[in-house]
Amino acid sequence: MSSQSDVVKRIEKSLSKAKRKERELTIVLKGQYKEAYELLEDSESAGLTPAIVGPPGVGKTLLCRYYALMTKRSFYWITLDESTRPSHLIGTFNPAVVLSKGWCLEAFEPGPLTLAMVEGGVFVANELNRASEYTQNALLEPLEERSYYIPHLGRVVAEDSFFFIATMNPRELAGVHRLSEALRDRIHVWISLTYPKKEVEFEIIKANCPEYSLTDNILERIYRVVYLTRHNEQIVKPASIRSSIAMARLIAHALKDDAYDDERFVKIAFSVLSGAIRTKPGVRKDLLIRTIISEALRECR
Amino acid sequence: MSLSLKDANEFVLNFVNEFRRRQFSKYKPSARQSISMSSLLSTIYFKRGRLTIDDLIKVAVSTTPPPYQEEALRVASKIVYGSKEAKPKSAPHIPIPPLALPFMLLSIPLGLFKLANKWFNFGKSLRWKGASHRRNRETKRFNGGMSKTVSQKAVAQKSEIREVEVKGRVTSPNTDARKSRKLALKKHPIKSRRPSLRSFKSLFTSLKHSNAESRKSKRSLIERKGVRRDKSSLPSLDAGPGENLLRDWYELRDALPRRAREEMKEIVKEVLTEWVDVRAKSLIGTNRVGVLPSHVVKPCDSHDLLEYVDLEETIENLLSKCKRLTEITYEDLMVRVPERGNNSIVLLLDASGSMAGEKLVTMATSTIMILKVFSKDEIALAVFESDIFRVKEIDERVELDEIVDMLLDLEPLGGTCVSRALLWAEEQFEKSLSNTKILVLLSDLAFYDYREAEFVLRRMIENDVRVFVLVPKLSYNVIVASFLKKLGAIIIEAKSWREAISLLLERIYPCK
Repeated sequence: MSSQSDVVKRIEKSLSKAKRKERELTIVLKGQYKEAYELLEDSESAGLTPAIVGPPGVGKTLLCRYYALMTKRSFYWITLDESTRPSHLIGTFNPAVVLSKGWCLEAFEPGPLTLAMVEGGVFVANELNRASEYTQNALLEPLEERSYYIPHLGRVVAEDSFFFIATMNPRELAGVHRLSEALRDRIHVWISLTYPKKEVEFEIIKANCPEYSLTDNILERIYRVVYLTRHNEQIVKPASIRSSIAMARLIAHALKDDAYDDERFVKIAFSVLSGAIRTKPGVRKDLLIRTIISEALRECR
Repeated sequence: MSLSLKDANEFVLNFVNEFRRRQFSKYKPSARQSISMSSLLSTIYFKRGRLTIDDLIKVAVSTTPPPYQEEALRVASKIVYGSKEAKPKSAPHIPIPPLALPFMLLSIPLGLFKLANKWFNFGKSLRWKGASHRRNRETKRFNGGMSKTVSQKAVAQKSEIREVEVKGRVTSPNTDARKSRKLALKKHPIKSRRPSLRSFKSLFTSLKHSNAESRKSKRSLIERKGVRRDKSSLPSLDAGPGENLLRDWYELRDALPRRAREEMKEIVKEVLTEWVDVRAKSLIGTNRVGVLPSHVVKPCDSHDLLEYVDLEETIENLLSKCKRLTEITYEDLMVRVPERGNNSIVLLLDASGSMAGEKLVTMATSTIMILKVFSKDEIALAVFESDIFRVKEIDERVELDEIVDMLLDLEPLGGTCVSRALLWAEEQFEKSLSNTKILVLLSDLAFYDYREAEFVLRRMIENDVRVFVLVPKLSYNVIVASFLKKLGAIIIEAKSWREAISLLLERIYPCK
């Protein structure tokens, strides 16, 4: 068992490591990503609020993180869902301190939105359309007035460099809400990201597997499998870029010095896809995945 | 080609006005959008020193919310290029086949002559379209749609359009007239061609009472005319015919042509969702979203978030314990935590052949209503006949829209094999941590595997699952119902969805 001091040291080490890692991002800024990045720049210059819309795993958050890194600003983000409340964004009063010292600034523990506002950083509201309307409405004031009223303390005004970005999944995806009319009107620029083109996806995979040498032959097969999941009507949530990377890493690791063989590929692709895709009700997922993999392999031969 | 800021602002105004004028578009750009477009275009202009047509289109599309971006692209392209295509470069320009003219002149047999003529006209019309692109680009780039002469042409051809409407086919062989008609239809795309929802309903009614032959002709009439999404007529459906519309839908959907069917489905879905919204509020009130209070006050433990601390409750607790501030521990803080999954409800819908007609309508309406009323509870939903189709697992999130969609596509057929559905329901209850477990079975109980079902059902009831069976009044298997009753299931006979829901709520919450 580690002692308390050991645990503290380890946490400190991990925190500093995380800070270092924040500065190391792997991104392929080409095609749609380049356009989206430029649109982010233009939106900020024009003082407009952008939202990036795209299916899970296309790199929405990564792009925002990269944007914050390039503009040398602090980056705050929160992933919203139905249980997220405005206090998760704005911050709360520590009841123990309130009881002893009253409603003072000392008792206030700021949330990521408040921090980003006062520091002039980039704030990303991830999956905005998963939040309840109550939480969505709490964002109206910061978006419109660039300020927020904190009870007992007063109004906090955002720094000029504060930049709000929302990311969300397309409406047709299960589990998302409709954005309230008021919030939708306060988001001025809608940047759509979809699954990237073949060449860009190849580059993304390669960039995320630097320790492995992946042949075009394997990449082609991986791409074909994920491509087929993205164009199958029975699949509600297809394989994302994350799945392609996972598949590539697993295959590259499993093969090492061995020659490529279809059997291993099938096994790995099957195990990755089983968790990565979601089918329509009543569809036999395992059968569908096998059909897709065999079709992809047949096409690549 | 570089554009000035004046051009850009003119484009913004035209775009917003044109979009707002679109009669059947749900989306109307706000003043905020025009300001956003102008600011974004100015930024691009000052940053790059120039503005291109592509920039205009890109800005128009990216400032419009995603579901309407395609429409925005069409509107923007129409303003910029004067046509619906995104780019004039990619517009199809097929020249007249070189052999067409001599072939047309030489071919003596009438059939071959007609074919060549057709071919010739096809190429010509496409060439004309290309010419129109160029003309519009040169002269009327920012005129916000059609030129005056084109509009006048459209008005001039209005009487002809009426003629076309009545006869239901193109009557004039004149190419010029055809061109103008096409333009006029572009200008008044649906208004001049499509009947309103109300007239569609009358067509529905006439379809019901018609024989096979006249039904066929009416079907083709609907196919030609399509359905108009007339928002103004929607409230009238709320007063009662909402359910009738659903009944009509189930009865006549197979008789509808594909396009009309899709459009009608969207309307039925929209009406039904709005209607259920209003009705559900009348059942559960507007103050509460669920049937049970959704928060509970309890002493804090280390896993609870500090923001859930209820200061009033905490102070009261401290006073009752006579504790000093220095003695406060975590356990003294009282938190008000949201209570999730008060009930876990599994809905099993019988979609066997015997459920066709009125029963299906009541079942569909009751299901949507139950989903709405118990929206804050954990709900699982499956449809069964000879097989089982899982629509929503208990821990899965599925939009109500999607379920309504599924219900509208439901085709009652096959036998009634309930035991597998019950096994699935049992699995769902195992996943749930809720204390109250409720199984709602919507069926006419025409089971053929009753013996197997009895075994699973008995086990569920022994495990404190409350079983409610909603059956259509006077149209269900009484013998199976009495067996189920003996096991401990509660049979609710209902004539309508309203009766079904209120009886169900009464039985679930007897004190209500």
